[in-house]
Order: sequence, then structure tokens, then C-alpha cells
Amino acid sequence: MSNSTTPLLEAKDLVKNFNLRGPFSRSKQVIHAVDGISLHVNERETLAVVGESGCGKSTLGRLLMRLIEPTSGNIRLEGEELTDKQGRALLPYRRKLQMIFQDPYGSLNPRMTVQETLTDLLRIHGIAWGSAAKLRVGELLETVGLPASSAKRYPHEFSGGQRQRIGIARALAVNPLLIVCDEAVSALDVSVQAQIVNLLQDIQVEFGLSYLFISHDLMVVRHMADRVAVMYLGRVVETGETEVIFERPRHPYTRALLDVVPVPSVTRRTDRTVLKGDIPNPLTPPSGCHFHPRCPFAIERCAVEAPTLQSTGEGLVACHRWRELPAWRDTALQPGDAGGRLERLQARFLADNPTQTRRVATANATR
Amino acid sequence: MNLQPQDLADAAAATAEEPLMSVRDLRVSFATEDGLFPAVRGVSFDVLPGQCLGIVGESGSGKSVTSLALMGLLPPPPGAIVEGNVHFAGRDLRKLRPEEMRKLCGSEIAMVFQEPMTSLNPAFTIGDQIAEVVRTHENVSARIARARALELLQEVQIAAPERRIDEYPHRLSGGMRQRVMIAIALACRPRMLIADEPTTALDVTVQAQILELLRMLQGEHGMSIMLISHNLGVISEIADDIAVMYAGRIVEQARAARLFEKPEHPYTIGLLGAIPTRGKSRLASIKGRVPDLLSLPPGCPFAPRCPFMLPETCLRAEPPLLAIRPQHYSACCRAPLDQVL
Repeated sequence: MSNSTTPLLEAKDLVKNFNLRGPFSRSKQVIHAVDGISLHVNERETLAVVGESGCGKSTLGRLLMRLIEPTSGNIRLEGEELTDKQGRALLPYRRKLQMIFQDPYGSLNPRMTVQETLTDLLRIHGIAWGSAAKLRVGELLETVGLPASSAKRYPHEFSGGQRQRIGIARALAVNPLLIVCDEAVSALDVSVQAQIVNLLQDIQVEFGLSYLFISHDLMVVRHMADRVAVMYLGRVVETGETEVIFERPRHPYTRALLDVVPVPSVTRRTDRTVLKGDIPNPLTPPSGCHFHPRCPFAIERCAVEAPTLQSTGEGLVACHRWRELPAWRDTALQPGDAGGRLERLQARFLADNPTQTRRVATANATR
Repeated sequence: MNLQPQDLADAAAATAEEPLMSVRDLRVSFATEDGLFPAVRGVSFDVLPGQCLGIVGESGSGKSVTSLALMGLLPPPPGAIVEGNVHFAGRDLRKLRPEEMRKLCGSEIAMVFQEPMTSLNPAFTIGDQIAEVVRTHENVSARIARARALELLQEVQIAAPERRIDEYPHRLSGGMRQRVMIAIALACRPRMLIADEPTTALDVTVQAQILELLRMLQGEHGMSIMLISHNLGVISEIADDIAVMYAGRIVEQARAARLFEKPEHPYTIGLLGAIPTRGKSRLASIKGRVPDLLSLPPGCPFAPRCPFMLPETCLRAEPPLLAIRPQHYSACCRAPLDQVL
């Protein structure tokens, strides 16, 4: 096991370029999907990666999983270099890193029952065979809040939320240290999303997991994450503890994102900034700071010189003007709740829905 | 099962304004192999001139089917069976002939959908597509129609409209396509816009732009908007009134501020509890899942998931949508919920 000073997962100067070449064009175009990203995830910690579509957050997740090869950079797991390992040599590490996808249906074999999918996995990783594997499948399903009897069913027989539970069971099957959640709750209805978010939090405590939580939903991120990294066009523009990012954001892009999060609230904000324009085409990113054409604080320097991440004392921010920005008022409004009536009514829902079963805890304690 | 249309009528009278659209006891069923699937089971509401009504609900709650039924866009029987009354500006929409309905759609009521790419024709420039709508409803020359298209693109705040007007849909971003769809919807200055999940496929910064545009259109042109979304946050951005749908019915309806401050239906309370907001250590998730509408048990359809359920009242009959106080309706046997605390 790693000691407390080495992070569980560490990425350094990670770069991924995709070469595009049209059938008729001779010119080669390059997309810098991930453009020099360094980050780390500690044990039992949730690091959220947020950003809009095309910012490279999913590519980052795939790189860390070693599903795609980085163009350059290093990935270390428990201090061990992963970047130069290939094929079978990666298998022991794959067991420690698992992934949950947005659409679990696309990642489950429709011709295999849940039982077959999970026992295959246990066999390949040499964890359990035969009747022991069957027993383990039942335990796993109960851990994620499904009846053990659902093992005999096929993926299409489940609802979206149940399929996501199966995806979580599959990730848990190999006793991982870290799970990469790529938009894992984004496609779900609000009430189902809440169930899955609660489940993810329960199993994190139960099994001591770390999460790399990739999401565009800032409200879920605020609820789940210990630390946040904000991405824009392949680069991290700001990173820090969740409360710092949400209460004292330094980067204009982080502020713009926070300004437009739709919160169900009684009063409406009037003083917010709504960014103009769309996210630029990643094939032709703007010069200097990628954000400067949309940034309300941009100066000439921003168009020429790309800012590097620098310490603010509380986190890291990549902006030339972070010291000069006006003070931020954390105006994320809450639904008004006279006399705590709503909270007391909601408490009844919580009481009605106790934490998931903990009986499998002992089975997994021996990791 | 019976709604109380007179309550809604009272509310309309109280505000002393004639509703632009008034829907009474709308029911939609689909013929399936397993029998009649009741997607919408008696929905009544009014949309006042210049007002935005938000309809919120999760998948399968019947919110989209409601909007399609209003526009007459559902397949004819036996595919879909639509019952109930829909009045728009004094006309009974359910009695209009198809050609009259076609004329009304586009010129007086317009609709915007979630995926703009599938609503735009990839083989024509956006200018042509907007001009076509103008010329379908108004007898004008091609040149005037093109000038109108340019004006409309300016109105929906597309940057460099004189350049964009000759581009094909695939060259535009998702946010710009949705703006083009709104421009097409606005082509004939409709009095009402039905927007079905208009921002769901968009990034948050672009979503904010589109919502701002809708709010501006409502304010400047006095247009009525019916906004359908699964996201209570999006709804709260522009809706004056909010209706919450569950299992094919409206279970709660109130002024937006009222609904967030003092919700009176357990489902609304559960939904608000399921949304992560600051200071919540744990989300109040609703147990179980939505009921199968093909085999609804008697009683309140939310009862199996409700922490306030009383077997003797809640399982006997489906509670009607009743006024808890003026302009606040809840379909719950136990409302007002202060008595259960």
C-alpha cells in the first residue's frame, strides 16, 4: 500500500492529440484534446472534473484508465509508473481502476445475463470461480440495492437507474481503489439521480473508494466532490477545494459557469454575466488564453500569452488578471424555506429511505 | 379521478383575464399490444396572455405528450386517442379541420423541440428555411421573405446574421441551431410558443443564453410561453406558474415562488429534496420508481413512494386536484401538509 504522502493516482503533463485527416485533404489537422494536464487523486477522495462539451474531460478520464494512449506525459498509480506498461502487464492495475459510464446499456452485453457478465469478470481477474462467484454476484447486487434474484435477468429488462446500479456493481466486483465516473448520473431523472448519488456516497465510505467524477453538472459536483478541477478546451483553468471553488472562484470562466447554474429558487438573479458566443472549435483554439474571446475581463496580453496555473494561496488558477477581478459574492440562492418546513418534510423522505445494506462490508474489508 | 375545472376557472376569473389557451380534462391514450396505455389522464390548465407556464415532470410523466396533443401532432386513432377540450383564443382546437389547424400552427402557436438538428432540413440553408415559413403563412415575395429572415436572425441574436443566413445547419453549433429554430417559430409573430425541453441538449452557458432570449421574447412581445422541462432549475428561470406532472396528471400547480417556498404535494417535496443544493448532506431520494400506467392500482399513484401515505385514505381513491389556497392546487389527500408535521 502507498504511504499517505503519495497520491493514489497522479497524472503529470498529460497530452493527448488526435490527428484528423479528411479523405480528400492533404493538410493534417490536430485536436489538442488534453493539453498538458497535471492532477492527482488522494485515497478516499473525490476529485471532480467539470467543463462543457468538448473541453476534453472525457478524454482525460479515458487516458487515466489507459483506454487510450497518451501522446506524452505520465500516469502513476500508487507511485508506480503506468505509462510504459502494455497489454497483460496492465491487468493488475486495471483491477484497481474501474469506470462507470453515462450510458450503462452501451457497456453491458445484451446477450449475457447480469450473472454471466459479472462471473466472467471475476474469473478473468482471478477473484472467484464457480459457486463462490455466484455468491459474490448476489452480494454485489445487494450492495448496489438490487435483489440478488435480478442476476438471472438481461440488461434490457432493467430501467436506466437499475442499469447504472449494475454498472456500479461491475466496477465494484474487482475491489477497485478508484472509480472514474464519466457523467455517471447525467442521463438519469432527478429522483433516480439522487438515489445513485446517495449510493455512490455510501459505497465510497464502505469500501474506502476514490472517485474521479467527470461531470458538467455543477450542483452534483458541489454535493459530491472534495476538490474540483475546471477545464476549458483541453486545459485546467482552475483547481482547488470544492468550497473554495464555489465560494471564492478566481477564474472568469468558473464564475461564468457558477452564474448560469439553474437553481430552483424563489427569487431570480439580475446581476449575473451570461457569456456570449459558443465554445470555440477545438481545431482552431483561440491564441493565448483559450477563454479570452468570451472573457469579460480580457486585455491585449490575454490574446498573446497563455496563462499558466499559479497558486492563489487556496488553489491554482490560470488567469493573468485573477488578482484584479472584482470580489465575488456567493449568490447561489437557496429555495426559501420559512421555518424549516420544507426541510422537515424532506426529512421524512430520508427516514423512509435508509442507507443501503452494509452486510457486504466484511466480505470486502480484506483488500 | 375527476378534476375540478371550476377551480381553475375561478382562478382565471380572479385574475380577471381571459386565458389565451385553456385545456380541460385532456386525456391521451396509446393503443399498444398490452392494451390502452393512458399517457395523459385528465390534465387541465390555463395559459394567460404574456404568461409563462412551466410544466415539470420526469420521463414518462406525460408532459411531452400533452404538448404534442395540444398541437394535434399525435398519430390519429387507433394510434393515439385524444379526449378533452382545448380552446385557443376562443376557438376549439379539437374541432378545427386539418388545414385550419395547419394554418394556426406556425402563425399563432409555434413549437420548439429539444433536438434542433432533426427539425432542420440539412439540404437547405437556414435563410431558405426561415423564408419558406414566412411565405407559407404570408403572401410576400421571395425578396421580402429573405429580408424578414435576416431580421429574425438578428432578433434571436445570431452573430453576423448576413453571413450565417446562407449557411447550412451542419455548420452551426447546437446553440445557434436552437436559435434558428426559435427564429422559425417567431417568423409569423405567434401569440404562444410551446418549448419542449429547448435547452436540454445544450451546455449550461448556451442554455443561459437561450433562456434569456425566451425571457426577452416574453417581455417584449407579450408572448405566452409553455415551457416543458425535466429540470426544475430551468423552469424556475422563466416560469410564472409551474405545474408538476406525475403519472399522466398534474399533481401540483402554483405560482413559481409559492411552489418553491411552500410545496403542497409530496412528489414536489421529494423532487426538490433530490436536487443537490448547498448545505444538503444527503439527498432526499424518492424510493422506488414511477408506476406502470398500464396497471395502475386504485388510489393515489404516488402512494407507494410517499412517506406521508395513510393506507385508509390514500389507497382508496385517486385524489383530485383541489385548491389548497387561491392559485395553489394539490392532488394530495393529506394537503395542506402542515398538518402532517
